[in-house]
Amino acid sequence: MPKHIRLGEFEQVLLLAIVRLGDDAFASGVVQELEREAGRRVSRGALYATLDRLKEKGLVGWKLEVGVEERAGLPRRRFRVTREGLGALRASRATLMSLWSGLEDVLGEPPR
Amino acid sequence: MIGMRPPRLAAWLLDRCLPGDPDGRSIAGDLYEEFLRTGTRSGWVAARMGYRRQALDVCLHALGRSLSARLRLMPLRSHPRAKGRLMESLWQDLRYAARGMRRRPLIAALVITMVALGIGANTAVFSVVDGLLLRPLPFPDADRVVAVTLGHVERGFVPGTFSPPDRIDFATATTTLDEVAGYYYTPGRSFMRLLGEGDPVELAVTMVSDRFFPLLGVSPAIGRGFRPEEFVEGSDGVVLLSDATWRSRYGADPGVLGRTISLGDRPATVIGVLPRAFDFPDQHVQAWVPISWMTEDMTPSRRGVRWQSLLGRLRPGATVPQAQEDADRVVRHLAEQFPGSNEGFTQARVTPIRQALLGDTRAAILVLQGATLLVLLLASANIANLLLAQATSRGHELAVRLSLGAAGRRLGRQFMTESLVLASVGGIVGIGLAAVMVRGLVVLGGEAIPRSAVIAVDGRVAVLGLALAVAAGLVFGMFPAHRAARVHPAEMLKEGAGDERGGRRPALRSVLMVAEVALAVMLVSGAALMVKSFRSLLGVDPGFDASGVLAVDLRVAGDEMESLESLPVRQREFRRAIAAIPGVVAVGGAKTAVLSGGGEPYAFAYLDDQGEARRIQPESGAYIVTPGYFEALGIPLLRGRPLNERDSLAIVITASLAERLWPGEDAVGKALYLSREARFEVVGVVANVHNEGIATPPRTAAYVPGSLFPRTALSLYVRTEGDPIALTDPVRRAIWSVNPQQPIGDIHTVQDAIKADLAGPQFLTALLGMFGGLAIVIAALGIYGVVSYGVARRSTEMGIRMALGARGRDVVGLVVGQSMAICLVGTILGLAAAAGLNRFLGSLLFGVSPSDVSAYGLVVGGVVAVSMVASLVPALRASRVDPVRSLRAE
Repeated sequence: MPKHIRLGEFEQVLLLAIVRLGDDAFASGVVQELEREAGRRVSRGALYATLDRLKEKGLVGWKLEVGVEERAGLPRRRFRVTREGLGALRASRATLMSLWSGLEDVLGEPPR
Repeated sequence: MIGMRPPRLAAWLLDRCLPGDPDGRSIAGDLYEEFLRTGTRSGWVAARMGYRRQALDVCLHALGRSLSARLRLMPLRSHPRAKGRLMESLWQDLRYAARGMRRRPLIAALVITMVALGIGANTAVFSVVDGLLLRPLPFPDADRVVAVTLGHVERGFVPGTFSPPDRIDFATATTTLDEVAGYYYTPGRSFMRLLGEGDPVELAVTMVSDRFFPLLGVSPAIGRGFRPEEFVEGSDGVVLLSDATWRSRYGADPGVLGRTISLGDRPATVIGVLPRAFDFPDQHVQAWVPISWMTEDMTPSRRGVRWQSLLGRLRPGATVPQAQEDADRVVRHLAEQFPGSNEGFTQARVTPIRQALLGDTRAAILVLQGATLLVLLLASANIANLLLAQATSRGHELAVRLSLGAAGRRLGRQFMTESLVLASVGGIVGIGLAAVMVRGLVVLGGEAIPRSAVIAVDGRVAVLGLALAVAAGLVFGMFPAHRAARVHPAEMLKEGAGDERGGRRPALRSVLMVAEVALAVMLVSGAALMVKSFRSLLGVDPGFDASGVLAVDLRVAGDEMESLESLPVRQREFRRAIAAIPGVVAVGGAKTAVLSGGGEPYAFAYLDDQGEARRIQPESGAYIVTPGYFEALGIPLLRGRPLNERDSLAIVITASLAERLWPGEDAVGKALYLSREARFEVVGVVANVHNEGIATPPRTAAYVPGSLFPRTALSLYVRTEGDPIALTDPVRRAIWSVNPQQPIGDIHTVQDAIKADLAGPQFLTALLGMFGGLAIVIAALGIYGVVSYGVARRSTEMGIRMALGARGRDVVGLVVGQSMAICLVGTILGLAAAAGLNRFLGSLLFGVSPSDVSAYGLVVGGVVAVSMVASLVPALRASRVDPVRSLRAE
């Protein structure tokens, strides 16, 4: 199994949001999902820069769709997490879980 | 609500920043979609705001990414640690630089000294430029104020003054000036005696016309300005004081307002004190009075008597060239209207006031600034060479660091940091030095530097000096940094690393050497021209014999005089008393000091050889002198006799004036008319005299007896048999024997007066000469360094050559020949640049053309000789190389 690329926190959150949205992973949906589920406002610049970076690492991919009227005819990107991306998420979860385990008493919070 | 448009500027910006591919356009689409959604949900204002914010955010990120891609830096925002690393490595570089300075103190000291000298000189001269050329004058909108001078077709623009009626007519007729004012002030001459409250003192006073202060836009700091009725002759005297006089004489007491003082034997009420910064016409002026102070019997208000300097303020929208055209038209019209007095006065010159105040000084300080910048460039080139050599000798250190994993780029930055540290330290030392130098400049420059009170190294000058130092550091750090970034560790670590055969590196050093020689040629040629010009100034025959003559400045006035008519009597008593001193050969006086001009602009009528009446105004004016004047100053009498005690309507003229009026005839016995009744007989003709300064060519002049033109100012000249200074005390006693209360001004020898007259050019020549000498030394050191370095580098080659039979002579020839070829290129480039630059010296040169061939020949000879010696020394060393030993080292 290849060594997985380590993920930054925002990268992780972003990948998770795309996975959760499934077939509806468009940029606007991703933003709303992040605002709703992670409770954070997202800077557009950071979003697109991170998406580009994840693409360069081969963790996400996208498909272009033709524009509709609500977008003034501009194209739209449907994002999806690649196999490598899913692998990175799994590895990241495994690392975190092993770190979390046994600390419930200290942190006083049950693992979800 | 499709159809609503997002903010146009933000959309345009987005279009610019995003790539044009579908990915980029999809981002634009996302933002548009969100714009519509926010608009329908929360209103269009919020939508537009949101769109703007997001567009900007996206653009900044895109920009940051493309920048960081170009610089190969990590994105700053998402990786804050990268910034920390940068600071950390900078700190490391700084510490390393400090250690390097400790390890190589000689080089550090050399570099710092060179930078400090260069920056010090530049900062000092720049503070003069700043004070005189850049800082605002002490009145508002000074760039709208112009000086207007009047010129005669033959006599030119000296003194350039207007008569009172001409001034009034000019003010009425001009269409480009909305204010016109006149004033009367001669630096070092316009004094009035102030009596009461303390010792009597002579105040430097300017007489001004009614629109003077409104024109300049200046009103008193305390008290009030002049009122129109105070400009009517016979009205009560009023005076405005300078801030400095108010403080020193009256202890800054506001109660002085309304007090009546005695000024020039007349009562005057102090009505105000001017702002501290106000120093027009110059910084010596202590008081201002209405121009009506000059009464009709002092100087008649006739059209032909021109004594007022003219100022104007440009009408809104008017330009100097327009004002110039307008002024020409007005004076031409006046000349047509009043041919009797104004014939030939058909030229006017409109000069911005700052330029008028500075005159030739402007050219001089710009030349100095240019020279100091060249010195700094030269020093930078030299330092670059020095550091380059040092970088090469540090090759091992570099190679080790490279093999341990340092990036070449990082090593380059290290070298740049070291250079910048050296430059900054040098710059700070230099600014300290500049503060001292400025004081020296102002003291040495003396009267040659006007408005010297405003010259100082202040914050902005210091900042500029430091910026200049950093710029110099960038320049001289560039070369070694560039080199360090391209070091190949394997090559450097090889045995005999000093022996580089790479073609580019020596070329770089040769380029620097060419630059050094060229800069030295430029500086030295400027200095050579100035020295030559100064030598021809020293060789000028002033027209009088200065040796053994004592000058005594007096003002015969005050309570003790009953009337103007008794002045000549009192002056004669002084002369007689002095003449009685043993050792005194002759005594004579004049209203103005020799070399300082001051001839009064009288026009005379005469009959030409056709018997026709004509008018002439001697170019230099009519000098008011006492009997004994020519004898005391040793002015050669060519024909006739000098003035004597019995003369009244007698006149002596210069040879040039005699030649103008009656060419080929004997002027003695001819007549000059000041008016129908005043018929002056020419009793003598004297040699031409440099009345207006050594550098000013003698112009036609007349000498009239003081008995007919009583003046309070008197410069006495005492010709002695021995050392004139030894007679200082006897002369004082003689004057006090006539009047114990007579104040005595400056006593000096006439030779000192000549020295003072030449102080300005001497000052400039000395400074440029110093820079030239410095340039030669720096360049010689540079050549020496480059050649010895090259010789050391090629010692193996030399060894082989000698082993193969080359003699020491051949080696010397080879080395010197190569360096001379480089010097020759530098000399030719330097000469070409100098030919262009030295045009700026034009107005400062006397008796020398800016393209003087012999001066350039001398410079080339000198520079070649110095370069020859500088390269001969290391060449000789190379010729003594032991071939066996140098080959064994391989």
